[in-house]
Amino acid sequence: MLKTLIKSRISAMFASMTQGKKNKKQKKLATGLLIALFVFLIAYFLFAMGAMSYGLCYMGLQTGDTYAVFTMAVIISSALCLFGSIFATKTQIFESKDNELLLSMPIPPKYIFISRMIALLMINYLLEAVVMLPCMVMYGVVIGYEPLGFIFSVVVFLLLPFLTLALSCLIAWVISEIASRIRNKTFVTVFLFIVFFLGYMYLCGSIGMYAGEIEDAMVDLSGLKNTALFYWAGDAMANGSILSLLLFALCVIVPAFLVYFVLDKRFIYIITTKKSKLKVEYKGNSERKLSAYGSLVKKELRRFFSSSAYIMNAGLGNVLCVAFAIFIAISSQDLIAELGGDYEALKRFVPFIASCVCVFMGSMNLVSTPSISLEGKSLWILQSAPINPKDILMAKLSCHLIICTPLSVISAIILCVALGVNVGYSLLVILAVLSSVAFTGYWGLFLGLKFPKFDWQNENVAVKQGFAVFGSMFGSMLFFMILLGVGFILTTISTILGLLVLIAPPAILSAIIHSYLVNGGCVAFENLKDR
Amino acid sequence: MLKILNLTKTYGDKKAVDNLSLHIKAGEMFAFIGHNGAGKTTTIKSCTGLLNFDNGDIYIDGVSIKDDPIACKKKLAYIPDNPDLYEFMSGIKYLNFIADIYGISTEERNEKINRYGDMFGLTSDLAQSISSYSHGMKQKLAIISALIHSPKLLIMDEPFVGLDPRAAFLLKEEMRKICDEGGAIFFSTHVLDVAEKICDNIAIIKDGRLVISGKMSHVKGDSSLESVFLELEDKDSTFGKEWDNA
Repeated sequence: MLKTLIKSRISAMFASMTQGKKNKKQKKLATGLLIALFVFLIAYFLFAMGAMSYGLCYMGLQTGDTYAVFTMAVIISSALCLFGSIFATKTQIFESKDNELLLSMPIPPKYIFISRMIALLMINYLLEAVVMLPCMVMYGVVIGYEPLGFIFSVVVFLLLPFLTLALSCLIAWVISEIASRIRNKTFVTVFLFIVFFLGYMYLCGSIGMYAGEIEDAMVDLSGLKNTALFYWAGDAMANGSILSLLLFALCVIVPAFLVYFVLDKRFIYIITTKKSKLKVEYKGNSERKLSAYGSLVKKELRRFFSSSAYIMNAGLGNVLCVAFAIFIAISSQDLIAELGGDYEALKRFVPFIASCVCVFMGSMNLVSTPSISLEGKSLWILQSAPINPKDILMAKLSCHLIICTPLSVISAIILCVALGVNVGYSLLVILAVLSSVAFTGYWGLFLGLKFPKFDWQNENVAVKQGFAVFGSMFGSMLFFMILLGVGFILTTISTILGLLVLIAPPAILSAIIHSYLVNGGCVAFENLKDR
Repeated sequence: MLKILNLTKTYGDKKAVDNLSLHIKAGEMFAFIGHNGAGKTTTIKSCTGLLNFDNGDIYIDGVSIKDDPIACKKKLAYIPDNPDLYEFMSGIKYLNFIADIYGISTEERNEKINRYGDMFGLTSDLAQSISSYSHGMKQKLAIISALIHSPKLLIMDEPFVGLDPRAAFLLKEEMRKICDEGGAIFFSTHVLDVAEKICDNIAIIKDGRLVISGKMSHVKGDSSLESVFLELEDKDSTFGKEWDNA
């Protein structure tokens, strides 16, 4: 029975990747494209982690602190596991749609819980593998393992996801508990998630600082032992230290067991108890009449701000963009002072660099991409209403522009002011930002229309999975990386030329996609009815 | 008001609707009956512009849905079998969204929201999120949103599923009223008693093909609709028999 449950959970996870395709040909194409993207991503991670590990291995050899290689890898992989699985944990354990169906069957609740945990553990292992495996291979090649080191490396690899899963269960539980009692669920969920994530990153960062110090061989090892868990993992893997392995295992197994024990005992209560919320009584209509188009835009905005998953997965670039701009603004004066006379020579690059920051961070904004998939089973409302498909598509685009433009422009202004960019160049920087925001919106909408995913049960699937989301993010990132490369070269000739590279191509492509959307795109939207 | 001419719709090799023709006149309440998978929902979705079809045409008040879908959609309202509404909205926000789409004035929408909200006992819940609604409440909200723009043609797929007895009664009353005021209603149902009691005309479909259609009294004769339906379901060779205007 447990085997069947685990099998169904895993097949459901994979099925969600290719759902929404009406025939075998489309399914094959979508699967092929997804595999290609996964291969690219895995190759990218393997290469990046391999390169980093290679450098660390040589540094470790010079300083004798070889464990730093593994300490870094464990820090990065645990952050990736936590960030990558926390929402899956929240939806799988606490908000799963099939809880009631499964509970009505003669299945012990413990089995339901275990099957979900095993599926989540597999996600954690996958995420961990892309970081840890290249590191372990590089270590073996460059440094070579101690007799016990290799075995302990495997043990640490197998144990680490238990800790990240326990942490993500705890965080997801706290978020679900608080959110279920409060009316403004989305705001609370987003806020708590950011707080937990920043807290965790701070923790990792402070330990990472020690690791950074190891690289410079400037720190006393006895002090490093106080960094606990990550150091013990590194020490066990690199030096085959039994004590470090035991301490690491203790730190992983005890909290994992406690979390498992508590959740197992409370599982039925958690999934069957409905928290009472304050009922809002309707007291007359205060809504004003809007135009059909205005109402469509308002609907799109309402959908965005009602979903924490949508905000965090599709609008995170906005937050990162502003955060990065503020960070650069604060640290820029020190940097300028440090550069001294060299700063004058580099000044021609400053407007280009300011644009790069906003453009690249903005490419992570995918507000328009899942907007068509999110119609899901409610698509009939728009398709049976007397609305021109062009208005529907443009409303989705407007929502993207309304959400992304102000913060991107504010970030550009902050950077221009902090870096002392003159008014003329500042205007060009803002133009580059506007052009990139328009491009990401159009590109995302185009892919969302071409590769929609309607048969989701949980909106996370529409927001996070599928070719449209992957293609939108990595496609626009790749496009902007190429532009940044070309722009950088041209900036050596002229600052304006460099900036024009960031302005013109996205604007031209946006115009091309716009022309498609208002013609063929409308037909494509009409034909979504046959899916 | 609604004219379906030689409608054919295929899914792959399967003909879901095969050369179906029906005519629903103004003032008529028309029931559409058939077994599960007979092609009722496909026909209804084709009429509302939710589905492309392979052959034939559909006219709403004389306008082809192929030629001018927006003009057709302005005249009709559709209530699906499963009311999948915008769960991120509250009931009142959803109704205002629909009212905006159909360009209903503030006064008119307020009057209708209050009237239908009170009628179906939903007014006090209108500020709640639709995600907290039961199936029946969602169905009531879908009905109110359909009635809010006074459609000339009301197309419904299994409209009584999930409704409590009082709401079902009120819906029947409202349906009669629409027809008495010159509108038309085309709906599918498995509740044969309801169809028998309230409908003027009926069509029975089997495996995508029209088995019989016409005035209720002519179709059922002296028997009950249930026995006629079961008898026709068992037969294979009575396709296309039309009793209309008999």
